[in-house]
Amino acid sequence: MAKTILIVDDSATMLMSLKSALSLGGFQVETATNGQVALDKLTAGLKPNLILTDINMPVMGGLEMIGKVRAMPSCRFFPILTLTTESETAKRDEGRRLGATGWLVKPVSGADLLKVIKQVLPGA
Amino acid sequence: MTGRELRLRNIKRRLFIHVAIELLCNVIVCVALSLLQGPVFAPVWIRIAGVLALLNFVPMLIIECLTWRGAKHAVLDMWAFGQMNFDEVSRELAVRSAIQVDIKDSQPYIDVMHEQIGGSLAESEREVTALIEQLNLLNDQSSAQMERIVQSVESGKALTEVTASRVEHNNQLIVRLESRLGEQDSEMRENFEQIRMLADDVKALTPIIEVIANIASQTNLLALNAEIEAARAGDTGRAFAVVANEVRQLARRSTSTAADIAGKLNTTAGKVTGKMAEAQKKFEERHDRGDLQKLVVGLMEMQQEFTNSSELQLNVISDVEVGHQQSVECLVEAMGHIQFQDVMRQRMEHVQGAQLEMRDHLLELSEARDRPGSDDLFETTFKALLESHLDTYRMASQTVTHLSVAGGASQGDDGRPAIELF
Repeated sequence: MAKTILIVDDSATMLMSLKSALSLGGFQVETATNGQVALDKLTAGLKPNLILTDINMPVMGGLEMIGKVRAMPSCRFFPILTLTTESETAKRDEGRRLGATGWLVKPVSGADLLKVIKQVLPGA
Repeated sequence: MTGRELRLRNIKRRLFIHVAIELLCNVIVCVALSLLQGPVFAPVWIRIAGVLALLNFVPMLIIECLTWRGAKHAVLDMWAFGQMNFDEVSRELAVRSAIQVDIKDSQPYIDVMHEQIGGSLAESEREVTALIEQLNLLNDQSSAQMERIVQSVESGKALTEVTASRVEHNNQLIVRLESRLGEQDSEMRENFEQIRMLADDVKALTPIIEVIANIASQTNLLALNAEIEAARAGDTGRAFAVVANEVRQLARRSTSTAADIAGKLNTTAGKVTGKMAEAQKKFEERHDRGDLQKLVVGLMEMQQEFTNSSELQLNVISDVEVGHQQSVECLVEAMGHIQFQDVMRQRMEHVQGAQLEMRDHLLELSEARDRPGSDDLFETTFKALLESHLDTYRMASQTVTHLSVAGGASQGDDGRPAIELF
């Protein structure tokens, strides 16, 4: 059965391109346009195997979302990867402290993205 | 020495006298206090003099230096202004006024450029989105085509297997048919042989018929002789003559019948032999094994062609599968490259923000002359604005570009990789 990945990004092109790339990689894909929408989906019962999130987004950013997701009992252990243009060291460290699994700075090639996802998602 | 240099020398001399009088006053105060209090307190007053120098003389010296610098600029400006005639002053004022108006007019200019960038970003997002949709559509069509090819090949394989099975079945049928035809051939040949023997038997009856005909002929002669003898005998032989006549007639009929039987037997035997030869010829023609062999070879060739075709189809589908997989990998890479649009959008949004900052600052500059007591004091400067951007960049590439143009040392990202797993 295909693993589910939740993509969180406020850019329509990013959502579409990532959805296409990951679908071609054999994954089931769900999308959210900001952290709050992602939290609402998780609260509604969505159980992704991995979250791939942007950091700088309106309404709720990625770092805040990671903190809130990790506070949910059912969401403590699946991997969360960030895919962002943000390269500031302090934010990386904060992401790590909040529970992110990895930090990917855009742009990342499609092959590298699939490789990292398969690395943190055993059995994918 | 020019008038301007003379004026500057006078200002410098005045400031020097200022400093000298200040120093002299301090020294006099210290000496007077020392004389009034006596030599016992001399060390104390030396310290007081040092304190006075620090609190009074050094600040005084700094103020005088600053005053000298300001006075120098003022004299230079005033001298330049003073050298102008009326037309030049008028032109200078007109230029300054035009600059002020032009700076104000830069606001709509910057707003337009701001909107142009925003419009370009929106358009690029629309086009990239459409591009992604088209790529997805292309991939869907390619996948559907691939599925159809696979189904076609599966159907071809099934057809080949069915055909091979049918050919095998037909081969078995042909083998059985050949065997059956062989048996029929044997039976037919046996029948032909029996018919031929029967015809021979019929032919063999002809000599017997001839014997019968000879006997009848001899009987006829005997009856004739008997009739002659009966005639010689007279009335006594009349009855015998009647018998002899009857015998002769019987012999004649026997001869005729024998000839008739012989003719019919010969005709029948000839007909049987002719018909049998004809039947044998047709039998041989009809049961020519070459046709069956050709049929078997044709079926085998058809089976081989189906097998070859199936292998060819499998090779083709294998190549198509490899090509399709490569297309998918290219598509994944293409989707990765589309991230450039998001990167570009964020950089351009930052530039848009900077444009608005520039517009507001230019507006402030244009209004500075009309603001009372503004002198040369602004809330910020282009230099400060530019430096402030270093704290707002999100991408290392933004910082690199900034420093490559404006100069300065990079804070860097501590060499951390673009992909980092914690």
